[in-house]
Amino acid sequence: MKKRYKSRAITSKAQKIVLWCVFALFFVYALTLIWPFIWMFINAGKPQVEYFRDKLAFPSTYNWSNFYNAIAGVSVVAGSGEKVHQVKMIGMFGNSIYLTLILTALEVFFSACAAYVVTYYRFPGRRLIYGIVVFTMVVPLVGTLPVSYDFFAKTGLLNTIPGMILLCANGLGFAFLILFGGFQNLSWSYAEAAAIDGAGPFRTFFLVMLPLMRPALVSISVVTAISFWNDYTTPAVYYPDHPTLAYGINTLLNDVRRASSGEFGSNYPLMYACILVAVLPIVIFFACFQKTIMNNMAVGGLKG
Amino acid sequence: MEVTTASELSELTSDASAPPAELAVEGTVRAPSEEQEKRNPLKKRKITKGKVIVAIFIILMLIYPLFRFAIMWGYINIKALYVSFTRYDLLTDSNIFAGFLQYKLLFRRLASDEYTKHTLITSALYFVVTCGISLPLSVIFSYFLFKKVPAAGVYRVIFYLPSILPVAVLALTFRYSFGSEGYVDQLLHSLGFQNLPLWWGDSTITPIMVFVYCIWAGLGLNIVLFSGAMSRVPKEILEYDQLEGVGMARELFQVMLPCIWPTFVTTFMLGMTSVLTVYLQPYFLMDSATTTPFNTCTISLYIFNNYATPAQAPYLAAFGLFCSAVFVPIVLGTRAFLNRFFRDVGY
Repeated sequence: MKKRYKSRAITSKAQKIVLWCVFALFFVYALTLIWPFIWMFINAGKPQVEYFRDKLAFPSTYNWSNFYNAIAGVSVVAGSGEKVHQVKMIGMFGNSIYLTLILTALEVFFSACAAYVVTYYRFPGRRLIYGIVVFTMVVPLVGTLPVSYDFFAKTGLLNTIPGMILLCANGLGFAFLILFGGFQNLSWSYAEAAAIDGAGPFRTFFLVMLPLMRPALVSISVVTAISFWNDYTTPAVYYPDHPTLAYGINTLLNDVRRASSGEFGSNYPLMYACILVAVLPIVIFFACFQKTIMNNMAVGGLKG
Repeated sequence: MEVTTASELSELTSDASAPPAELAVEGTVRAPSEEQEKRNPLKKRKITKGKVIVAIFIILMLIYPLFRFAIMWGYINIKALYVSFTRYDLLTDSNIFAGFLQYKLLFRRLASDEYTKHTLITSALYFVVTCGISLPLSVIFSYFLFKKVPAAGVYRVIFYLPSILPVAVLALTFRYSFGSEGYVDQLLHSLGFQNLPLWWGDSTITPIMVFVYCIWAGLGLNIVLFSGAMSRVPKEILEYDQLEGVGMARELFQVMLPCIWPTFVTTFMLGMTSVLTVYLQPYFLMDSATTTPFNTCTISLYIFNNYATPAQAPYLAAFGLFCSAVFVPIVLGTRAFLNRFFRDVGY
């Protein structure tokens, strides 16, 4: 017994050493994730020549003009023919917000509608709808991009909001699954009480059940908004005349690099300022909703 | 969508995840028996009206999602399948049925074209990178976060950061960090390292750099998912382990892993699909290059980069659908195989 106790004590001590070693390893990994942005922030305050001379030194005086240039100076060319126009970063920011708000609202709304009906109502094809959701999420079919693009071009939906809604506001995707789980945990007795008081299915859904789902709706809205904000492919292919931040930043950086290429290399400090400005909104958003996001990810848990 | 949650993954893996019948109700008005209807014709009308309202409600709630699914999944996929059996006719600006022409071309290229072969090999390597390296690393990292390594909460948030940033930003940041303009070369030079490799211009190093990026940026989401799954393991089991003096390695592989197996299987499965879907990482890291001699092209990138005119659509559709047809059964088979393990573990 005494021997066993000693063994446990040693294990505990060994575990502590292991944990501190892992702490050091995690520190290095975390540093590799954060350091590039710190380094870019340091260098974004340098003039191009100073950066060219020494990329590791602090700037002699921190110059914020690169950030101003990033927001209101540099721009990308969008559109074609008579519709060619310049879009600055502030414009991309506006496009991103506009699209993200519309698409998130519609995606969550359509998903809530579908999830509610599939959860509570018995009708032919109910299980099939659930199967469709799971199947389309698990089974990726590639090779449809040309056909899809052709369809949008022929129907005049390219570069339009209805086109983006059709592409992104799914109603039978990830948000559906989350809200389906949410409705399963919500007692039907609320709806029964509403029905006794004379409420029809529409009023029951909009005025009783949907408000009760507010925490889940907020949570899924945050996650959905981040995914739309960061989406590159859809705006790049189907909405290129109105570049969003996630799409436009790549073009912007390539343009700045080519345009500023010269004796002292490209204007990397300005490019770093552009990257930091592009990252800032989503980092602020993450800081505001960090608990919601992390809890959503952790609490969902997985159980066999 | 780059962000997924644990509960979604749970739904995907569980066979019993279909809507439970006991939760479903027939609407606000229950259907009457035939006898009741005969006795009270007025009530019959009322009930019928209620059922109609419920039916209208169901239709209205589902009309957009089903309409959208019919177009964006049904029509597009069926059309893509059809297009893969056609060829583009420039004179009539339309697709003409051409039988297996595109598939024959595809098989010829698979047999003789190095670029196509490399594309498939590189894509297949993403399976190794995602499921063989990234996923096990995520499990180990999650376990130590669960074991309350100092500052675990802060680390969890930092590790998740890459998941909320646009891929373009993160990939370009990684790209700029290396190379002549980045800090890595400067740092290595100042530490005395000379003759540094061309990170983005060497046929050996460059593909590895793309994989390193995928691991570096891809751990966070899985770590959060696994941490969530581990936090649900009953404390009694872990307390029992401690009393028995179970070591960390044993606890991780013999206790934790079986307990989080459904999560593992699902993330493994989704990791496998990266073979078909990954393209943005090499696209940005290789500076949007359409053709690169560094073997970094993937199946999706091949399709994304090569579509410029309608003439290319039939071959690209054939290429994509063929890859999907080959790989999807492998994914589903792997899932069925993995689900055979740890079936008796329940809590």
